[in-house]
Amino acid sequence: MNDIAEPLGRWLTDELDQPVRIENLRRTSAGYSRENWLFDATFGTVRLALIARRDPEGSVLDTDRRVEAAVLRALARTDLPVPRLRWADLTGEKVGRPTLVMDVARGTCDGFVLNGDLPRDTRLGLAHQIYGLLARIHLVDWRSLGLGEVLEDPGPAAALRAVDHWEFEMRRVQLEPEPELAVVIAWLRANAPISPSTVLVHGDFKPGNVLLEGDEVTVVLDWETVHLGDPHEDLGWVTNPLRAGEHRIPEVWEPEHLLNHWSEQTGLTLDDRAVHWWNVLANLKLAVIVLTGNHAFVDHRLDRYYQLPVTLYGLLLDMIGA
Amino acid sequence: MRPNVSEQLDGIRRVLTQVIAPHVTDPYAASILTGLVGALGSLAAGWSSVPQFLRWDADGSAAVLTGARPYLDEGLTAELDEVLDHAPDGDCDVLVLELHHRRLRALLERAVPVLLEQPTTRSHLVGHLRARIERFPLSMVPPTRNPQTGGISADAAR
Repeated sequence: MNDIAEPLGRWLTDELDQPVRIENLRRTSAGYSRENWLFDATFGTVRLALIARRDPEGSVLDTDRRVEAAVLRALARTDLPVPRLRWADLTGEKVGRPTLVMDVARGTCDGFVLNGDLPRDTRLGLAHQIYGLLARIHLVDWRSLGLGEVLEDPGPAAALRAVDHWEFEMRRVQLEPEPELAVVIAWLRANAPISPSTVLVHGDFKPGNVLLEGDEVTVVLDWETVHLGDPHEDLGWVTNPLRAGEHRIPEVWEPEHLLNHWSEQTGLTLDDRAVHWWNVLANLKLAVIVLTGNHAFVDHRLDRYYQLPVTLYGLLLDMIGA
Repeated sequence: MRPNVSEQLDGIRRVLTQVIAPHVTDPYAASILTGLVGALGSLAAGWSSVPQFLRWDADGSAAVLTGARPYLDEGLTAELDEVLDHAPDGDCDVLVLELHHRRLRALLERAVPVLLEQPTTRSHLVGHLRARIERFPLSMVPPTRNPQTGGISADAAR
């Protein structure tokens, strides 16, 4: 299982031009789309706690490390709390498959912190802080950061482009016909909203992708699905009814609170119909992620598999009023 | 045939849980093992319903397509006729039944744009798809909290 230790040591030795010792290397169970290897790198009198995020042989999500590395480097020039990228092996020539090595950030991860054991006021404060960060991501001046050179601007047709992308992914990985998703895709095409503006979209924003130290967010993680698009896309993701347990606090942090907070923070106008449309897209995306994982499992490239997401299909049919 | 398939799957699941799992300390391997144990439980509970489900779903898909025949193009109706002419008999191998089922589902997927245009065919299509969701024999447990990552765990289990 561990084929990364030696090449990782050689790579970092090359990068630092001095002998580097890799210690405490272990693969974490966190992250379904990348291999996450935690380790300590020692050179001279320095000891760094690092994480190597390597593309797996098979994944539930196929994304591009070049884009992720470019965005992390660009965002390091802003005041957004993002992981510190140390080294990138974009071709896989160093450790077998494309890999990013980052500092291990301070804090702990609790994807369900908003419905955890903390006092409700503390959780509400965290919600304001976490979704305030989403607003700040959407306010990033991506053009001045040069991100227009690595990310494609889909313009007003962002919604249709997203359907194109996820339908292409579905066709690429589906092991069998999926009439239910064909019905959903037809609805999405017929009802696609026009994007009001192009922003930096995180793509998988959730409490499980931030680290907390006490009641402070220290970093926003998992930028592998970052892209340019409609701000309603992230809003549809975080208000997806299927993910209510992660994003909502009953009565005090419902979707209307989250969306109002976002609107106040960004000064941008919300379109409720667009949010709903992106809710539907979010669940199509989840369904395709399951299909991607099952495709990789059958190909012996992934160790996890799931039963078909038929309950998700039922929710999707409800959401489109079928 | 004892232990039968359900008993074998249940037995494997029990051994993995009680004998193997306590000795798996690596977090990644333990996480994978948990998912596999859940999946075995789902298989043990649902496998015997699979052939009956495939037959029902194939027949239902065929009924939706046959009812929409006037709206389908010639190529699709010809393929439908070909698939139905070669429908396997009742005591066929489950893999033969699965292939027949997959062919009909493929025709149904192709026909979706046409089926959605007419209120009647749309209603038949959606009605069948919803009934299929209710009858699906292998269930996926809704996402739950993963205590190690805090992230979604959608591992199959019963």
